[in-house]
Amino acid sequence: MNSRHANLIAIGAFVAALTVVFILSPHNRQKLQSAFLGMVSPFLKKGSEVDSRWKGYRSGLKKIDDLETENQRLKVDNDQFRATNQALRGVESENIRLKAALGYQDTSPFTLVPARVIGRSPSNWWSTVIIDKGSQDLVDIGLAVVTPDGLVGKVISLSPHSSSVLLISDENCKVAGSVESSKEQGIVRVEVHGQRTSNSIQPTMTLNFLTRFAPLRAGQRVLTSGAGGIYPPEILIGQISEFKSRELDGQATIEPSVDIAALSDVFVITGKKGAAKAL
Amino acid sequence: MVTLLFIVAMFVAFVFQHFSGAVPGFGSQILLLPVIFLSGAATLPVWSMLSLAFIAGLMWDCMHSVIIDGSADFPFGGTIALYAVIGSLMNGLRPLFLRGLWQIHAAFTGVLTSLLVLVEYIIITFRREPFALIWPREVWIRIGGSGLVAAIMAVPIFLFLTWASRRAGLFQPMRNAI
Repeated sequence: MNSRHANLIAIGAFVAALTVVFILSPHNRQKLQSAFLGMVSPFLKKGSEVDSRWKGYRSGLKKIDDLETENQRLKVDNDQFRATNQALRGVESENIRLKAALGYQDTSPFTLVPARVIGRSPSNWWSTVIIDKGSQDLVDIGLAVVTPDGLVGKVISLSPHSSSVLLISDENCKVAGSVESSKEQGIVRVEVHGQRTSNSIQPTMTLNFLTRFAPLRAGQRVLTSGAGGIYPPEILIGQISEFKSRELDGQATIEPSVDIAALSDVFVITGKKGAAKAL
Repeated sequence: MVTLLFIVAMFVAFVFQHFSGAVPGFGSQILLLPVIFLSGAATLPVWSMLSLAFIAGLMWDCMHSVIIDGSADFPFGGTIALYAVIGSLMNGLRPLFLRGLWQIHAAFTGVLTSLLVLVEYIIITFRREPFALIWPREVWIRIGGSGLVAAIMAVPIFLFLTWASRRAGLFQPMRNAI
């Protein structure tokens, strides 16, 4: 068999395999995605650990540089002590952050599953992150994901120990929102006229289909309305920065409350506190 | 054996690019998977290139295909076809690699990575609602930026592959290679 025949056989096999993938049923596609996510997530978890250690090391280096400058200015001869002190400050700030997260978990009206972001989509046109909690931790497809600052997105695929979260910065993510202390409701989505978003950019969002001359002002908070049933009501999405009347309706520009580019710890809303007791 | 090594390298690159993030200030993602795939496509025969295209595309779609209510804005399996197309283009230049002209492949890796991102953009532009055919500067920066970074990353990879191929005695005299 010459190489021409071998190539033809290879192309035939490739086309056949590609056809099988194209005609996969949504159920089988989801199973395939779930299996692959389960296979990759241990590597992502390990990678995430290495990544945070590397970032910690780099920020540590910066702190040591700062200390050296400070030492020169103050003419104090205790570099090692100050480095230790600075490192402890780093631990303290992490402690404060985790305490705040724990506090949120306690005070939140929802039952929350804490999770850590272990990977970010490297795509230019899609905004998703991978978290380290999956079906074994009661996470399910469609559940809302939040931080103490507000709404992050929703779970779109999962494996036993990890899940993929579609961020509110993705154009596919649409949220029913309402303006605080107003009757105005609409659909929140990413503003595409300008640029399509990705994980690396803080998006501009809009609240659409508002009353044409709604009395809205900058600074008013936009919350989830609960319509549609995916996102529970009263979760902060962002603040209005501008309102404009269009031909048929009004549109508010929103500054998201969550820093999408710097997500690390999140919570998956698995239910409402007290709901289990009521049952 | 070499194909297997490329598959492992692609998997490592796939995991790594979840942490590599974007080029600061530009927003262009650092795409290492296409670079490894294209270096394989430039050095391996057609059947190996197609195997790599299938695995690379499937990995990407399994992890990043966003399916909402049963529908996706990029067809599941579409990335496999895309990889096969860019891989075939690179594979067509394989005779030049066998002559040791790695510079062409490094530059072409950048061009093809940009092409990959561009085709993705065109497809989602037509499939997403509302339809918005927008080509602002940021889009071109992301398309071109990803390609530029890929071309830069491809240089050491192709240098290594050239060295390894020379050591393995894979290079052919010019008249045999073409």
